[in-house]
Amino acid sequence: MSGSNGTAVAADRALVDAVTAFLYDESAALDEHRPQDWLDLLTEDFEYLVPLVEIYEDPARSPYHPTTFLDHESKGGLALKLLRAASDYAWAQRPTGFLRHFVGNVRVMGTPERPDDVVVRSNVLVTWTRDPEPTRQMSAGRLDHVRRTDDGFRLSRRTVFLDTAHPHAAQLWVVY
Amino acid sequence: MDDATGLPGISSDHRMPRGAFVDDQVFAAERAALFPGSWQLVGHESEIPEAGDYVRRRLFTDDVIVTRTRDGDVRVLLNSCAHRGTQLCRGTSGNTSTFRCSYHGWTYDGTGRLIGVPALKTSYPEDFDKDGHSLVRADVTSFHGLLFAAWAPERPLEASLGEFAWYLEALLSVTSSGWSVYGPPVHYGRQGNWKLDTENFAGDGYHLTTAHRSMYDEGVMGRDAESERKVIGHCVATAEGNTLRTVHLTGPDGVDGPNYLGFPPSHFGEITANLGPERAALLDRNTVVHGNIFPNTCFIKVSLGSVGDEEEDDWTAFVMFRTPLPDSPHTSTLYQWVLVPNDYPQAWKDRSYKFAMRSHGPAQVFEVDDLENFARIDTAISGVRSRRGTFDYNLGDGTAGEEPGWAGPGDIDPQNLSEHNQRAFYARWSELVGAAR
Repeated sequence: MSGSNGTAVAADRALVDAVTAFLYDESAALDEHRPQDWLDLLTEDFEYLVPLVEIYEDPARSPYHPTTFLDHESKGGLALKLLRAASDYAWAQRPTGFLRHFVGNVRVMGTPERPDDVVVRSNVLVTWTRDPEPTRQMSAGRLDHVRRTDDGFRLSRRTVFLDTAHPHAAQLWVVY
Repeated sequence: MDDATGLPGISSDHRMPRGAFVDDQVFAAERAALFPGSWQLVGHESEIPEAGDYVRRRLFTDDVIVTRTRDGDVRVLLNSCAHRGTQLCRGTSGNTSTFRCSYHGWTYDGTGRLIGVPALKTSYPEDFDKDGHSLVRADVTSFHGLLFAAWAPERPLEASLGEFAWYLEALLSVTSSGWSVYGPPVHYGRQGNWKLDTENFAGDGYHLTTAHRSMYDEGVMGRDAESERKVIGHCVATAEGNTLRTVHLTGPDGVDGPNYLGFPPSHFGEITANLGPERAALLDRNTVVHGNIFPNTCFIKVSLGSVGDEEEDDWTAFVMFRTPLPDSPHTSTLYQWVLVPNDYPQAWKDRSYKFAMRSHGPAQVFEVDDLENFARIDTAISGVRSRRGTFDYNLGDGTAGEEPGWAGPGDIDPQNLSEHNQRAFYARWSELVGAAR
């Protein structure tokens, strides 16, 4: 599992702009508490991965564990987590908090595994505030597989590279 | 003595002073009277298989290095140079032949012995006592590969476990092949006093249908057919403050003989043979076993029929150990390890880890609803008035009926809903901390 950015391909500007606009809309659905809208932007085989972070003395070694995950979710699992906010018993989601994604450094990367996928790297700063606890923020890199479909772009895989080995619970709860 | 209630610990009518969960003075008493003498899980032997392997961990409040020496022994060393106190290891894991300080270059071997001092011959007194400057060593004992450490144990681990070892043996003897960690432990910070975690794991079956109600609604706590079957619960405590709660399904399930829910049926024979009839009863048709090894080594075995993905639904068990480490009266750090039997199929190990994280992972609703309550408690009892008064632990006192008993050792309360175990945990806590105050 590598958080390394590598080099972006010389993708045409229109593709970068279109993918960026998709990522902005997708984040807005999370930030605005529209979980069904967000889930509708995922492919049925969507996979969400947050690798465990280990820090080694050798700075050249990737800190992202290849097989151990802080979170490894399917679309069904995320639906369970996000849609239950409507239930009276979703204690951790009621009352709601304030979620805000700041998406940047969007780059279209090299060869995708499928011809209809676009591989995209981006950086995010995510803030989460649930009063009365203080605001928690976390920066992370993201590696997304964005699939071209007849209905437009859909997210088929997201890997999140957290910028810490020792997060706070509130930083692990949010969807990046 | 709690200033507000006058209680040094749990009272005869089963109340604990709220101050025990927020007061700096109580935390200071725990640091002095509880943490140094107590055993705590710091890792598993499978994390450091080779000579020179190390992992950085916490022993209660202190940063430690858990390492395997060239002789194959495990050592737990204070991660602080004997010269000026500098942190030696800053990574979370690695392999090294020596630990060298980044400040003045003092160097230690894997046993913690000082082996290198720059300018020793030219600039230190001739009789400088190198051996008197080893890294501080904690005692360490392996129990089925689980590494327990203590700074100044008041008694050996065996004596601290007492009769409770019977239950841990049952859980860990499931496989003849030994256990390994699935991967490095997850660790993260949380709001709430560390004892909120330990008393929850000690035996709180009472919170399930409220705190985790949505998990039942979503079918994650068992399929409808199974959840309608009758459950029988037992709470067990030993004099050392160790506790365990079990839940078994009863009624016909179409399986002849033992049914070790969530374990591969091809290994049922091995489990029966290893455990013998009395211990096997702990896991036969068992959905959950959870408990706490006093003071803060929690464990849980859960067998689930589903975690939300239809295509992967298949009864699966996971075994998790976890340590809530005290950071302050109001915050803790949680480490959690998932153990898997060495010779089980990789697909089973992957599913076991997935079930563990999907239910008890830090990003998931089960864990988060507990964290939500712990944070709500901490916030709500940290005021001037709100920290006065008590928590109540009367649940299940004197209400046990004529249900079947339990073959295992310890003080057994044959009830699913009881604070029997919390009372035992705080009785032991009060012996050590209350007395010191």
